[in-house]
Amino acid sequence: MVKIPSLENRNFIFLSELIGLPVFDNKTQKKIGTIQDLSATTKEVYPRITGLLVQDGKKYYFPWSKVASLEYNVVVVKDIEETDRREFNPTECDILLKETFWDKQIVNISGSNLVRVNDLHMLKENANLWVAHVDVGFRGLLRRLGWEETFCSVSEWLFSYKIENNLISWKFVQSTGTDTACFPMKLQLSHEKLSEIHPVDLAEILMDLGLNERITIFRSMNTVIAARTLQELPRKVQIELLESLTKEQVVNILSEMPVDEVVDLLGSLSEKAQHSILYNMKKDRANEIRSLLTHSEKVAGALMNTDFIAVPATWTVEQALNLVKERSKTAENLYYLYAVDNKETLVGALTLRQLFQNEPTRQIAEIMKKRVLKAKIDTNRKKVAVLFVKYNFNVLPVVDKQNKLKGIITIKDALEAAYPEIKEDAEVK
Amino acid sequence: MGPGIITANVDNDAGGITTYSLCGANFGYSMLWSLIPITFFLIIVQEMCNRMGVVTGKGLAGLIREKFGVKLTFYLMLGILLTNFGNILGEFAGIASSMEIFGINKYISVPLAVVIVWSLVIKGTYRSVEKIFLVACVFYVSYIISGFLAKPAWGQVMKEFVVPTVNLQPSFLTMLVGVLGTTIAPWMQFYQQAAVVEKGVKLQEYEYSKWDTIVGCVMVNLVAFFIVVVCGTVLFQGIGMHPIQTAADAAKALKPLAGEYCASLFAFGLLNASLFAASILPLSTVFIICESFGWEIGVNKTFAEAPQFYGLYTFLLLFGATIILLPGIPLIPIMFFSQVINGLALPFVLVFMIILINDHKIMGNYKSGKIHNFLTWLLTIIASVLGILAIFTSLIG
Repeated sequence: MVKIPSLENRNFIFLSELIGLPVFDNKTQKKIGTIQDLSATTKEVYPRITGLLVQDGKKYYFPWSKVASLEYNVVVVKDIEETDRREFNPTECDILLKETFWDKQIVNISGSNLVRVNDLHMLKENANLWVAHVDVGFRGLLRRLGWEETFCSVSEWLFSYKIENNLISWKFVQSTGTDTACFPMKLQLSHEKLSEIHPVDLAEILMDLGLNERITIFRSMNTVIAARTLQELPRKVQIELLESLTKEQVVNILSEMPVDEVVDLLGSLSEKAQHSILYNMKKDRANEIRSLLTHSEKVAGALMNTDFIAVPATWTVEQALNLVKERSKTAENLYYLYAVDNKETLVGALTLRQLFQNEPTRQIAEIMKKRVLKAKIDTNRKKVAVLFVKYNFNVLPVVDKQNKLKGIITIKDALEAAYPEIKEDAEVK
Repeated sequence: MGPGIITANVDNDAGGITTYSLCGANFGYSMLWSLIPITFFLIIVQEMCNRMGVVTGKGLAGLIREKFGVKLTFYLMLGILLTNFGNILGEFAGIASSMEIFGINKYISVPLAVVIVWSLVIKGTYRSVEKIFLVACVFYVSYIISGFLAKPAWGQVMKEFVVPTVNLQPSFLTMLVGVLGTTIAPWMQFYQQAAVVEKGVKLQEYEYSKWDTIVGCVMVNLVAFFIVVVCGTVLFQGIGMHPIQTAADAAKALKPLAGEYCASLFAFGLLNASLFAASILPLSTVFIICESFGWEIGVNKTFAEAPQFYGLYTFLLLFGATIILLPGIPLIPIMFFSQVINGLALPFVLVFMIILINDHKIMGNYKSGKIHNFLTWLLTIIASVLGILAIFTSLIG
């Protein structure tokens, strides 16, 4: 006779092997119902199974400690009193595994993509069970359909091809349905997980998700990642996501984004919305954005970024270097520095390389290039793009009518402005 | 504007035009009235998936998988794959036969069509492709023009259009099911919802999107109306007579009777429709299958990144074209078989949709109202009964 392997001796069990199993009471030897779902706590790095939902017309919930043994085709529970038969009241940190994960999409951190969950792979140690992996492979699909054994043995016999499980470690998984991580884990985990993915890929994932899931994931990001990801999304989606946040969160995220991107974004909102956002921002940044918003979309002024490095021409190299260091966290471009006189008039330009190559005590005025090519605030953006192509610049300074330095345009901004179609194509579809 | 109109027009594909031609040629104007309730039902169904797409931002296949689990989804997808493959065969057959009317051999036209479809879908972006498709929609006007060229008795046409004639002959019923089945086909719901999601239609824009759907549904049935009128005027010789077998037959038969232009327009319309549908059906099929099984989707990915997507797409396109090129292939039974599965799958898809659209978790405040639900259930029941009747009668016949 074939000996049926007991689940007791296995290290790993799939969720699909437990769902639907009959549950027996070891005292009365009677069937209580069948397993409908398992609950788990998300207070730990790997969710630990805390109980089982049993269905028999009515739904009962038993804590995992009541489980006496897991057999191949039956689960036995012990110490069940009549008063134990009550419904499931989830606490904030409990999730139902089948309901939350089966057939749903998750973010696969290691592959930077979205995948659909076919099954969950659980680690068994003594009486405890933990969710260790998420099964997203073809074999998991077959298992759910009930064809695993037939199909795999045929494949092995015919083609000598073993269909392997495609498992993703729980560490590299982010749920999209609900923010599953609970308090102590919540702060550390989900943020760190998503930050492993490049913002461009994150944007692509957000685009592929449904509306609610998109908002859930976006909300779980910290401000820096949210700001970076937001820049990569089409305008429509940017607005949709910001609308789902509180005003405070919106202001925080926009404060992390480059000024020119914020201007573009605010430019497509109503004046009322612009006003209420700017009102809550830091004064100087808000003023900067307000003045940029007044420029027509078609001129250099609308493309420029005001986060540039300007030094008085009378400074020394050492002073300039210190300023670069100080500004290195926020400035859009570090390599090009602009020299101005006491009226903020642009008088010269120099590079970081020049600063390194010259004596710290030399004056900026001595080493800077005096003839600087620049764009006027009202220069047409097409002309700006032509300047970039013609002279092979990476960055171009922008001045006003009095030749006062107002901002810089990077080649990226110029390219995007001149070729809206290119930007659209390169963006996530 | 876009998804609703495109979906509705793809609906008038080779299979659709064939069915309407046969309907006109075999039954005259007597079935014209059925286009009114069918338009009505089509709008109801398409509006549902439109709404689901806008509210959830998810495709229908994904929603079905998440709500009903893997088993039901798998068998549904198997059915969809079969029926869509049948439809794809029909499109290639339409291309082959319409080009033959213009004197171009099918061994040239079919491979050429595969290349065109492939490059359109793989090399184009969604925006550029959508524009081409909208232009293709305009070409359906050729049927309306040929309708006027055929000089029908308009008084008679209008009378039959407004006053329903019911005939209990099995052949009449089968044809009615054919018309219903070809107009409200399961792939349309999946395609429209996916297109709405892909386009990122927002809730605020929903009114436009709804009108896009309504206009599309009316357009498709207007074209159908004219096809029935053309064939009913020129080819109809009395109920029970079967002057033609396919849409291409209809175009050929029109030549001596209604003139060169009418016939050419008819054939051109068939070519346009087949090519149009051949560009959309295989892609949409692969799209929904990959969506429900969580496989990588995307025409901007490489083969190694999305093997299932490209593998299945290549298979559908090449295998579909090859079968049409095999000598002596029985096209009519194949197309009929695909219509039968179409009809069988439709009630299931409708039931899934009704359950989904009434789920508060999914739809929030955008659930269907009572009257809307009643009408959808009514349609589901009618579709199921007619489907079973048709299979039953054809088995006896």
